[in-house]
Amino acid sequence: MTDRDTALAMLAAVNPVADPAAIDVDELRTVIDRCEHEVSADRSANDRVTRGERRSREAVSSPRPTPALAFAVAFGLTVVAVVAAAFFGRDAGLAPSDERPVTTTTPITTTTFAVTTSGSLSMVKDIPYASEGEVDLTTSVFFPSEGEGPWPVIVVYAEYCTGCEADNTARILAMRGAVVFAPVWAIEDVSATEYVEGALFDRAACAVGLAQAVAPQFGGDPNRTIVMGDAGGEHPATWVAYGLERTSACPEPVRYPPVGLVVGAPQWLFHEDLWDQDFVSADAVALDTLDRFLNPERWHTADDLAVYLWATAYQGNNRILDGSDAEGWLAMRDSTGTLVADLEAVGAFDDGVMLLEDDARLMEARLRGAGIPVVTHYDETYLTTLSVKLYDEIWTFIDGRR
Amino acid sequence: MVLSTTETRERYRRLFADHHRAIYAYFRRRIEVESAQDCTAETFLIAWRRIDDVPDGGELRWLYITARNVLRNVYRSKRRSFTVPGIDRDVADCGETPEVVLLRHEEEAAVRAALEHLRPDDREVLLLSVWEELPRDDIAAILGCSPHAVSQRLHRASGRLAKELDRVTTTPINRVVPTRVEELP
Repeated sequence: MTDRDTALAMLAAVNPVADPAAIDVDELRTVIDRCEHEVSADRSANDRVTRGERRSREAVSSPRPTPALAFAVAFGLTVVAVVAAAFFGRDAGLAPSDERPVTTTTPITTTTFAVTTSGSLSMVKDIPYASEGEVDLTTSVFFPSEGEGPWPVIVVYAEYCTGCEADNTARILAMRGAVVFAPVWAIEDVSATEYVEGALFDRAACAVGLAQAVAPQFGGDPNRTIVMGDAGGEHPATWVAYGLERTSACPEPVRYPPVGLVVGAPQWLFHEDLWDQDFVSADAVALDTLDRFLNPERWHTADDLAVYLWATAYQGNNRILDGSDAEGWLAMRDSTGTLVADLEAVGAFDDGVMLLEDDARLMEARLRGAGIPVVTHYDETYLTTLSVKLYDEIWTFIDGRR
Repeated sequence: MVLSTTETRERYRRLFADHHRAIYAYFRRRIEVESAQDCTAETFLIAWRRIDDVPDGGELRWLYITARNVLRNVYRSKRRSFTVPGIDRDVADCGETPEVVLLRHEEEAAVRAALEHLRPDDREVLLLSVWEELPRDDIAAILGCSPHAVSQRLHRASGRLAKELDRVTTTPINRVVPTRVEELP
C-alpha cells in the first residue's frame, strides 16, 4: 500500500521542470522574441482597452507638459528603450505604437498562392487558417483583378451551415473593391457546449488572423479590417470585433482590431435550443460567454469601431413569451441585472414574442451606450438574406471605414 | 490608477522578467515544448493587453489564472487531455546502473499513469502544490476557493493518487484504461 507522503514524493520526483531557473535560455528565446515582437508591433496594445477603462482614462485630465517635464519624459523613454533592448536582447527597444499605422503593404506572412482570375475578379481557394482535430479549416479569398488598392479587408462568416462559406457575398463585395475572405467555420460534430463556451468562435477568429497576415499580397490593407456575418455567422464576427477572441491556438493572431462590424439577424442569444439547457444547469462558462457578448465592460474594441446592424421581421426563430420570462429563462441569462430592463426599454415584451429584431435592438442599445457608432436597418420584410438595397448600404458603410 | 505609457512598459518589463520562467515551467510541466512556448507568449501578451487589470502584489496569481485559462483553451481546441510531458534528464546519471535506470523509468511511468487517471480537479491541486510549490493561499486564489478547501482537496487528492499508484503498479502499464478526454475544472 502506498501512503500519501510516498505518493507525493513520487509525484515530486517526476516533475518535468524541477527547477525553472535551470531552463536553458535558448529554450526561452522564442518566448522572449515573440513577446518583444507583439509588444512592439501590436498597436492594439494601447487600443484594446475596455470601454470602461477608456472612460476612466478620459476622465483623467492631461496637463500640458512643461519643457522640463517633456525632457524628463523623453529621457525616461530613452532609458526604458535601452533597458528593454538589453532585456530582450535586441538592438531595437519596445517602440511605442500608440497610433494606427499608416497603410500596411508588407505581408506579415509570405506564401505563394495559386490565384485564379476570371474577368474582374481573382480568387484563391482553400487556404488553411486553423485545424480542428484532423480537419483543416480553410478560407477562400476574393479580390479585384484590376484597379488600385489598397483595399479594405473583409472577413465574412456564413450563417451556421456545416462546410459552407459566404462566397456569394464575398464575390459581390470583392467586385466593389475589397479583399474578401470567406472562411468555412462551422464543421460537423460541434456540440452545443462548444457553441456556448465560445471555443467555436475562437477557432473562427483564426480566419481574421490569417486574413490580416496575407491580405497585403492581394492588395488588402489589414489596418482596415471589417468583419461581417449574419444569423449564426454574426457570433464569430462580433466575437472578433469586440476583442473577445482567445487565439492561442491560431497560427496567426488577430493583429489589427476590426474597424467595422457588419451584422444581420443578431444575436440569437435567447434561442431555446442553443442556450437554454446550459443556463438551466447554471453553466458558468455559458453565462460568461453571454456576458462577453452583452456587457460592454468586457469589450476590447478598436477606438474607431463602427457597426452596421440589420434585422428583418423574419419570424422563424422567435420565442413566444409567457409572462414569466423575466423570472425564468431571462433571469438565468442576466449576469448584470440589467437585461430585463434593457429589453423592456427596446420594446421586446410589447408583442408577446421575442423577435430577432429585439435581439438586434438590444445590441444596438448597448453599442450606443458604449459610445460605438451604429448604422441600423430594420426591415419590415421577411427576408433572411441580403437584398441589393442592403448590399448598397453595407458597401457605403464599408467604404467609409477609412 | 492610470499609468503613463512609460510606466506601463516598465511594469510589464518587470512582470515578464520576474515571472516568465515560472509561467513557462507551468506550461512545460503540462504540454510539449513548442506549445509551452506558444502558451507562455500568449499569457504575457494577454498580460500586456490587460496590464491595468493585473493587481499590484498579485501578479503571479493573476498570471497563473490566465495561464490556466490559456491551457484550458489548448485542451479544448485540440480535444486533448492531460499527459505528463517527458522529463529532460540524462539517462546515465552518475553512478546509476542500467537496472537502477530501468526501475526509475518504471516508477516514473507508474506515477504518470496514476496522474493521468486522476480527476482533473484532484490533479490540478496536486500539481500546483507539488510541482509549482505554491503556498495554499496562492492555490486558493488560483482555483477560486478558500485555503481551507485547498487543504481538504489536497488531502483527498493525495489519497486518491496513492490508490491510483497501487492500481497501476499491479496492472501492466499497457493495460491501463486510456485516459478520458476531459478538460481542466
